[in-house]
Amino acid sequence: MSLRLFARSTLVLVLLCSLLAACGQPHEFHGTLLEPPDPASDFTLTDHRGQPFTLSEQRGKVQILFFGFTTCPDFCPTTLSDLAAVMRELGDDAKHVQVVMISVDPERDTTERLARYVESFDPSFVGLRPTEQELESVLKAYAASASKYDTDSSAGYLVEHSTYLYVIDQVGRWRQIFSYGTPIADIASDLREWVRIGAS
Amino acid sequence: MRKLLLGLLMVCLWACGSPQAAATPTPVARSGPIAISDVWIRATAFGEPASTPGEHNSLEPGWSSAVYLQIDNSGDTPDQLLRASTDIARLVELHQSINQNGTGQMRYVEGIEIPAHSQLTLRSGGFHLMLVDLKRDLHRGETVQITLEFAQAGTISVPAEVR
Repeated sequence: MSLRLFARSTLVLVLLCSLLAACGQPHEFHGTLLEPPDPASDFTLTDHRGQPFTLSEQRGKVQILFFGFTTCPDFCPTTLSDLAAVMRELGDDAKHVQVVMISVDPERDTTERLARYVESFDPSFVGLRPTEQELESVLKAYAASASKYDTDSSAGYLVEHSTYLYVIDQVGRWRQIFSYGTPIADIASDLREWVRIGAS
Repeated sequence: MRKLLLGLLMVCLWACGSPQAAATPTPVARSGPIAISDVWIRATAFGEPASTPGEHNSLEPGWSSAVYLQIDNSGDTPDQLLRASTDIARLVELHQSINQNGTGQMRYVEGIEIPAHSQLTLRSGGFHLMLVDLKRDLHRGETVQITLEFAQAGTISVPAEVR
């Protein structure tokens, strides 16, 4: 066998193998999976345009829920700007994904303020302003927490809150959680898989 | 073909053998043993767009952003970052984010210690400078001046890139 022929057949073999491996292997999720998936607890809250937003009416899109507030200078903008990068990375698949920030500071986060905030990261992002009572029940449903605390900061009170991302699939099942700081590529890769599963 | 294979082999060997370049960015400013590098601010677009390109809008109080940077102390004694200031915010505070069991909290700190012969990175999820009451939006690509005040090294003014 000539060296050239050998090199060519090796190349073909390697390509075939990697193709087979890619087809046969299930997607390896990066975030924590909820097994079995739970039906996501439904809620209706006022969105950043003053319109009612009902989770169960969002079927067909993968929902990413996040608890945050507009005065938060570090965790929230980092998460939202990472999610904006995720949406860019998703390209065409991004239209099947919706990012929703639920305010844990409804007292200061007016709808107008929420609108400016979420849209500054990505025009498709949704901000929700619950009443204190609504907030309490949504937090409970997602095993999340939020509580105000006073600091010496002149920004006024701050809110400590859950920093996870909650993934709801296209048929309304709570499927996954991402911890704060999960790499953009990992989130995008998992979301692409949820979009694919939802379409099949 | 043999030459090509030999070439590929050499490239592979070279790639394996080359040492990992240490992540030491070029300092943008220094004073004594303190060197500052990789200073950046998170961009914002919280206000109405400026009517004329190049002009800046103004923001009502309550909007914030954060500054991240790296501090190297090559000296034999520790130093402390005490304060910071900038024209684009009413004030700058030293904060520390803590994410414990999935719950994030931000604490106000009086100072940030940089031990002798060490490096400290102010990054998301850790220490950062909070810009309280931003006066205007910050656009990607612009540069903003931040003044840092250290206990030993004194005042250091650094350019921060908006990202």
